[in-house]
Amino acid sequence: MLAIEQLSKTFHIHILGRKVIQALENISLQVGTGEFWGISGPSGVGKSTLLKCIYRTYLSTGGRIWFNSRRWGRIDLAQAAHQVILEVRRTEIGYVPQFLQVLPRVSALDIVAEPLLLKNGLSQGEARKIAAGFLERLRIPGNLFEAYPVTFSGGEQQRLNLARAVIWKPRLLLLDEPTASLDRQTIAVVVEILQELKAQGTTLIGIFHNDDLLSSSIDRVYPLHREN
Amino acid sequence: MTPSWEPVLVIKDLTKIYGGGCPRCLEVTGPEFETNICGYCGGVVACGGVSFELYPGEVLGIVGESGSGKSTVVRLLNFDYEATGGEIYFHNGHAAHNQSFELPQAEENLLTLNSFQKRQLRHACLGMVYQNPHLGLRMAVSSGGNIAERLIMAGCRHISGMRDRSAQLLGKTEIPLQRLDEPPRNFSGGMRQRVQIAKALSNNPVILFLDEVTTGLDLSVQARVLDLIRNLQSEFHPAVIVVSHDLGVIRLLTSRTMVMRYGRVVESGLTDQILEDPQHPYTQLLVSSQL
Repeated sequence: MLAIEQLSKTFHIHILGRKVIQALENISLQVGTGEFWGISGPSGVGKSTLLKCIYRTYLSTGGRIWFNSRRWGRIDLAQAAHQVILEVRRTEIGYVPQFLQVLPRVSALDIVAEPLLLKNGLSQGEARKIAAGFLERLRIPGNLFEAYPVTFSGGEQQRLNLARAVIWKPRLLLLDEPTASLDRQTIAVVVEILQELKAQGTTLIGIFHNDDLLSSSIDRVYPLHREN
Repeated sequence: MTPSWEPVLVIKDLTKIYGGGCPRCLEVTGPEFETNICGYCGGVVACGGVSFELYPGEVLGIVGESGSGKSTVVRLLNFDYEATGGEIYFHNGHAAHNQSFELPQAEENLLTLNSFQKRQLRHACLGMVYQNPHLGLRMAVSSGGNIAERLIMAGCRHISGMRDRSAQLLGKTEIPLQRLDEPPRNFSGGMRQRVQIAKALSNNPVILFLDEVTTGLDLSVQARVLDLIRNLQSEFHPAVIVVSHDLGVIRLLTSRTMVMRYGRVVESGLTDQILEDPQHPYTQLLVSSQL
C-alpha cells in the first residue's frame, strides 16, 4: 500500500537567518494493505512530520513515498502533481489533524456529514443521519449536534476531527494523536471504530501516546529516534 | 504523471506595466530587487510573468501584501484592464451549452480577442465579485435589476424568467425577497457583497473571481459570506480564484495557493503546504505574522 524509501525532511527557516532543522533522515518503511501501524518516539522526534510528508502538507526534501493508488496505480506522493494529490486526498487518503480547523458557523453535524456529501455523494438527509450515529457513538451529547464546534472542548473537537475522517472510509488513514485529550472510555470507543475501519480494509498509520489501550489493535510499531 | 482532466484556464507570462514600459522593466523589478518600479523608465510592474493553470471546479487562492499584484491578475483575467503582455487560453468543454455565440478556440490567445468578443466571453463564462461593491453593482438600480442586466448581457430575453432567476439567486444569497426591488445603496456592506455574489453567479459562470470579498466586513457577516461561497461552490462547481490577504480565508476556501510579491509569484502549492511548510522567505514571514 505504502512504501517509504529513504525519506528525509529538512526545514530551512529564512526568518531565523536560514536556520536549518533536520527533522527526518533516511526513513524507510513498508506498510501492507490493511495493516495498522503506530509511530512511536519522544516528543519532537518528527512523528507528525512523517505523517505530514505522506499527506504532502510538508514537501519532502529527499526520498520517495510510493502509494498504490486505485486510480493511477503506483504514484510517488512526494513528487506527484498537485491535482493528483488533491484527487488522492479526495478519494483515497484521509488525515486526522491534531486540531480542528473548519468554517465558522457550520454545525457539528454538518461538519461531520460534509465528507459524505462531497466524497461519497450521499444526500444531505442520509449523510446527516450517519453523522449523527457517529457523534452519538463518540459520546458527543445530542444537544451539541447543531452547535458550532468553536465552542466545544478540546476533546470534543478532537472527536469531531476523527469522525470527519473516519466517516467516509478512506483507503489509507493518517492519524495525528487522535486520542491525546480523551478519557479512557472514549479512547476505547475510538479504538473500536478504528478496528472496524481496519476490518473493512482501511490501512491505518497513527501516532498514539496511550500505548496500553492501543497495543492490542496495532499490528506494527515504527520507532522514531534522534540519530546523532 | 498528468491528471486525466484539462485545465479550464491556462495563463502564460501575464504582465501589466503602468506608465513607461521598457525592455528592462521585468529584469530590474520583482522580489529580489524589492521593488516593482523600473529604475530605467519609471514604469510600475503591477504583475510580471505570471503563469499558472486553473482546473475545473477547483478553488485557487492568491495571497500577498497590498500592492503585490493579486487583484491585477484577476482583473486582467476578467478583461477589466488591458494586459501589457502574456497569453490566456480558455479550454472549455462544459460551457458549450446554450451559448448564443461561438466560444474562442482552445488555441486562441484571449488577449488577442477584440473588445466585443472579450465582453461576450465575460458575460457568458466569467463572474467577478469586487472588494468594492460600487465596481460590481449599479447602486441606484434595484437589486433585481442589477442581476437582470447581467442576464440580458448573457442572452436572456424573458422578463418573468429574469425576475424568477433574480429572486432565486437572492434567495440563495440570503437577501430577503421583499428587498428585490430596492437598490443596493440602501443595503449594508455585507448585503451589497451578497447581491454582488448573486449577480456574479447569475450566468452560471465557469470561472468566478472573488477579489477580497470579505475584507472590511465584520466577523459575523464574514463568516456568513464564506459559508455562502462554500455552499454555492459545492452546488454549482465553478472554478474559483480567491484573492485575499487573509490567510484564514485562504485556508478555509482554497485547495491551492499562489503567493505574490512585487508583481511576481514567489511560491505556489497546495494550500496546507503553503501555510505549514512555506519555502520562500516572504511566505515564511507572511505565515509567521498571522494572528
